[in-house]
Amino acid sequence: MTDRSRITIDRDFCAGHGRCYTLAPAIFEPDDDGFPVVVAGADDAATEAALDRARRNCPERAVQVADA
Amino acid sequence: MTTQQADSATCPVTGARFSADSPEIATDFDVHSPAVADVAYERYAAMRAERPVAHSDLYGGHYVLTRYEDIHDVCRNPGVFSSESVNVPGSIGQDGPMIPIEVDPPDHTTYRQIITPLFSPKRMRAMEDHILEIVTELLDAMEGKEQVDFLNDFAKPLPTRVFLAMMGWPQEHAEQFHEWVDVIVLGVPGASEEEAMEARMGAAMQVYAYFAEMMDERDEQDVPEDDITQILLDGSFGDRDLTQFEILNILFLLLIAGLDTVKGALCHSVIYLAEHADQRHQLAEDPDVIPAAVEELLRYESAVIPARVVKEDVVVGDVQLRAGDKILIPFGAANRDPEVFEEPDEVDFTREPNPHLAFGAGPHRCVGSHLGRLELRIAFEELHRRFPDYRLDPDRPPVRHMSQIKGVASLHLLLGPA
Ligand code: HEM
Ligand code: SF4
Repeated sequence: MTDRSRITIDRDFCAGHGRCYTLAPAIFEPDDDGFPVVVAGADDAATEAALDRARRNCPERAVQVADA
Repeated sequence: MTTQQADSATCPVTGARFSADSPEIATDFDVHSPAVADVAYERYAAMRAERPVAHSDLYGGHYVLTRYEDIHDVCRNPGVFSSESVNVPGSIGQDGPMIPIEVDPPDHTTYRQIITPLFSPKRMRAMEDHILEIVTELLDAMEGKEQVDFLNDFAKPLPTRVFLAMMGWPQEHAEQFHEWVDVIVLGVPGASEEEAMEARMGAAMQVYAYFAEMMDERDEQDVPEDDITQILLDGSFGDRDLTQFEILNILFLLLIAGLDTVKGALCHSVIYLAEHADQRHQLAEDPDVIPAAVEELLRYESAVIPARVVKEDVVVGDVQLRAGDKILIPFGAANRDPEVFEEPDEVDFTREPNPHLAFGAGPHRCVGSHLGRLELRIAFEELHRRFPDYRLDPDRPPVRHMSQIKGVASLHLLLGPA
C-alpha cells in the first residue's frame, strides 16, 4: 500500500518521456503537454508492481516514492 | 557522478590521467564510415572496456563516450555540455542553429514550451486513426506479393506521410521529401567531405524554399487550422511573435529528426524480427507484448549519435576535457552498457527495467517520442497481424549505414513462410 502523497515526480528532472504513465496508468496520467500527474496511490499488489516498474524504467530517475 | 569540475593546476585531485593527445585513449572511430555500420556495437563494447572516454582526431577532433552513466550525465548537464552544435562536422546545411536541438536553456525551455504541446500524447492519440489508415494502405499494396522493398515501400513513406499530415501539407510531396532528407542526413555516399557539404547545403536551401512557400500559402488563404504549420505561425516566444527564421529552423529540424529516425527504427527492428521467428510470432500472437517490444528494439538499435560542446574544463572518467572540445554521445553505446543492461546484446521483450536512452535524456529528450512510439506500435501490430512470416531476401541482403543517425540503406524481404 503506497499512499498517493508518498509518490512524487521530481520536476527538475522529469523530461516527459511518459514511461511512467504507460507502465502505471492507474497512478500517473499525462497532462496536456505530456508531463505526468500523480492521480492515485497503489493499493494492491498489481499497482504496487506497476509503480515499481514506472520508477525503475524512468530514464530521468524522476519517479520518487518516499519511505512510509 | 563521474563528471566533476576540474582545476587543471591540481590534476591529481581531479583524478584526470589523460587528455586529448594521450595515446592511451586514442581511437579511429569514424561515425560516418560505411565500414563501421555492421560492427558499431563491437566497436562500442571494445571502447567501453578499454577507453570509455576515447579521443579521435577525425573531423577536427572529438571525444567518444560509451558508458551509460557518462552519457546520461552529459545529457543532464547542459550548462557544461552545450548542444550549440550537435553535428560532427559542425553543419549539415542548416542556416543558423537548429531549433530547439542546438539551443541551450534558458531559451531552449521557452522553445520547448511551444513545441512540446505539438506532440503531446493527447494530440498523438488524435492521430492514431490516421496513422492506422496510412499503415493499412501501405500494407494493402504489399498483399499478394512475394518480395517487397520494405525500405521504400513502407519504412520511408510511413513517417513522411504522417509528417505531411501533421503539417497540413499535400501528401503528393512525400517523394520529394525523401530525396532532400537523404542528402541532408547522409551527404553523398562516396563523395568527398566538401562535395557532400555542398550537396547538403543545396538540399537544405530547397527545403527552406519549400517551407517558405507553404507558409506564404497560409497567409493568402487565411484559414486558421489546427495543424503544426498554423500553430507555429501563431506562436510566440515570450512576448514577441516567432520570426519566420525561427519557424523555418524548427520545421527543418522536425524534418531531419522525425523521418529518418522512424524509418531507421522500423528497418532495424524488421531486420532483427525477420531473423528471429519465435519473437516475431510472439508479436503476431500476443499484440499486448508490442509496446514492450518497441522499447526493447529501440534500446537494441538506438540510432541517434549526437554531439555536445564542452563549455568549461571538466573531467569525465579519468580524462581532462577542455572548454571548446566536442564529444560524441552514441545512445546506442549507452544502451548496450552491461553495467545497466544484463546481456545487453540480447533482445528480451521482458527486460526489466529498461531505462534506455533511445530518445535521449534531459532537456533535449526527443519531443517526438510519443509520435515515434505510436508509429512503431501501429506498424508492428498491423505488419505482424497481416504478415506474420517474412525473411530477409538472401539475394539482396540488407545494407546498413552510419552517419549520426545510424540507418538502413536497403532492405528487401520475402513474404510468407520459408
Ligand atoms: C523512433 C523514432 C525517434 C528516435 C529514436 C528519436 C531520437 C531522438 C533523440 C535521441 C533525440 C535527442 C538528441 C540530443 O539529445 O541531442 C531527439 C530529439 C528530437 N527529436 Fe526525436 N526521435 C525519434 C522520432 C522523432 C519524431 C517522430 C519527431 C518529430 C516529428 C522527432 C523530433 C525531435 C526533435 C524536435 C528533437 C529535439 C528536441 C530538443 O532538442 O529539445 N523525433 N530524438
Ligand atoms: S517516465 Fe520519468 S521522465 Fe518520463 S514522464 Fe514519467 S517521470 Fe517524467
